[in-house]
Amino acid sequence: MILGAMLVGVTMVALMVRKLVWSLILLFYSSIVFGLLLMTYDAAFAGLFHIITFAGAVSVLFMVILMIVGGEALDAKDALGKANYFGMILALLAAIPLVILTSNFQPLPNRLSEQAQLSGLASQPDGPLGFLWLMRSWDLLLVVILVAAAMLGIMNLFSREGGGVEK
Amino acid sequence: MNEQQLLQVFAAILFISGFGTIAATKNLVKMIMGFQVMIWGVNLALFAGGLVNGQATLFSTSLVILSISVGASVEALALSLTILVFRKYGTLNPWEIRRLAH
Repeated sequence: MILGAMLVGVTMVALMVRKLVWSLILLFYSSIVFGLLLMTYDAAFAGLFHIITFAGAVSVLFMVILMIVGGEALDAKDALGKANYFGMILALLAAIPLVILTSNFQPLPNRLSEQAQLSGLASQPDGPLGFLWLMRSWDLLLVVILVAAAMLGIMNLFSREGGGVEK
Repeated sequence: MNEQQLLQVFAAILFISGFGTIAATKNLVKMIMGFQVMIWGVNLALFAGGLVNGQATLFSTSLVILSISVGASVEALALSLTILVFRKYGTLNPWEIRRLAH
């Protein structure tokens, strides 16, 4: 609960602060808090994956963007115009179905806790790391395909032949 | 309010914050940051929905991992597009970009 409150508080401050560098630092901190929050519920794999992805890769990407863009991004003026209040109301409305949907989300009845499954698999011939391919084959395959697709997309964007910037 | 519902409330707050930032800001980088926070909200909602007796199920953990990778991939693409847009138009203000594009 403390970690959850910290996560929400730091993230909201990160989004409200004007300087993008401070936003980036606070988001880095809150992504670590998010990972720790997942770890406290015995989801160490997801927590570490979150920290590696967001605190590691994505934060470095943001840092590179800020270095390239420089003063333009640092002098960002985020005045809340009249037209944007409509967006804020839309955001509040969007949260209602989200809460309803997630509150009705129940895990499948016959599923055990992750810890129990891992301890059961640890005795199998494949060893404690066997679960990586035995029970998570589809989602891990999708993860690899998605990351490869994103890398191909970025390479295509920055290649001379594939839709780069005209000079 | 139990622990699961509390996490869902936190998830909803994160989602609202991210969506509100996207709606309110005039900077593309800040918009992507808002998008990232929205993804975190969704991840937390998926994770909280799968808690059984205070422990995460493999099902919800797998969904969270999938969502993390999808979000990170989309963010990387969005950031690379941001660089291209900045090189071409010299600004990160979406309204200004729209004006310059016409």
